[in-house]
Amino acid sequence: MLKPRRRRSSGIVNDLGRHARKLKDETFRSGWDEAACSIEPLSNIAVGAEEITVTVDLPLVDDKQVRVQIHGEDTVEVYAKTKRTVRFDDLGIKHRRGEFTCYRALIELPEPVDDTRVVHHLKRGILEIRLLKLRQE
Amino acid sequence: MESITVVERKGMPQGLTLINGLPDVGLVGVLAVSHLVSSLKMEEAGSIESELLPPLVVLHRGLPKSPIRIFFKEPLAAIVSETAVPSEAVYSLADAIVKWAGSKKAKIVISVGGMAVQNRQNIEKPKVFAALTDESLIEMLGDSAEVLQEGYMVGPYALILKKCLDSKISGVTLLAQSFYNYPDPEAAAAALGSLEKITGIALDVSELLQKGEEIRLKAKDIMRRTQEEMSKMSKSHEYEVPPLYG
Repeated sequence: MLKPRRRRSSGIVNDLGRHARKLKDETFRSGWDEAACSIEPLSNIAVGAEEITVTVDLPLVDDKQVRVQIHGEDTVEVYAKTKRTVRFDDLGIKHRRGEFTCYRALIELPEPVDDTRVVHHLKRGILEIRLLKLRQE
Repeated sequence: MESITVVERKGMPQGLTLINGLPDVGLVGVLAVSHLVSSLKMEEAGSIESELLPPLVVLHRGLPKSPIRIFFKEPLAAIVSETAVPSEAVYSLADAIVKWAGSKKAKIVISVGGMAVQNRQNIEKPKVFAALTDESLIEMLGDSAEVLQEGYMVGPYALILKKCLDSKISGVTLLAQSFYNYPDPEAAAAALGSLEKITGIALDVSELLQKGEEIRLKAKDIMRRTQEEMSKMSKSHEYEVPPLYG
């Protein structure tokens, strides 16, 4: 029989963070964070038998500028500096001011993963992160 | 069926070729047909209006525009949407488009879209597939695309194809291998390559490829909204295998 997993304090903090992000997402869906000069990228999660694969769309990013961190076994943070500053003006938007220098995403995973075995690579501007699922005893 | 109106602001002749660029997998249709419209300098000739669509206008050069518009340059008419099509509007929209194509005695209706593949990152040159209303179109298709033999299609293009069949209008849906929920300009360029062969109209896709990263960034928000609508339409059905033999 599976024992219930004891929740770490980091898990509770993650839940609060999740709730705050949800509220923010519902207000400003676009993911352009003018205050933090960051863009929330598009992402996707595929769950396999052993692995969870997360992909993130990172146009205008070099492989060396990508940082991936796991928080509390079930959240992946992706941070990547863009090759150049992106302004609303560059995208044809003249009535808003803002410039963006990085992508930042906090992606909740459906299952806990082993934070010591994370593999990632960037190809065709898409970051692929492979995460090994944690086996429960 | 709730009403959707096609508004013609400039006269368009009968016998035109209609190209559809609606938001779908990888935004392939929107990216491809937008590029077609700008590179051929097609003129805005009409729009599609409905209370089923979000209450929004798109501002271009300070002027309010309908998010779904029709562009024209002999012999092509192109429908492009700058907003995700709500799943509730899909039936009425497909119906309105095909009825309008019928009223124009359209020579053919070509819808441009994407076909999601899981290993897209490893594909250098996306392949293009085609679904057809009848076998007589295979010859016209030539080597521009591979005919889809079995599978499901979900969304506005599925309905447009079926309604074309019912209305005896020649219809082709071009589907380029693409990312599912990331804008895919390379797939759009591949689809335009097929369209070029079918229509015989020369299209330069170099800008689409060179500015691919900027295009992906700019299309991020409409892709996010399109993904939400695709989920509501059970778009993942397209990965499944039909149980019956044809």
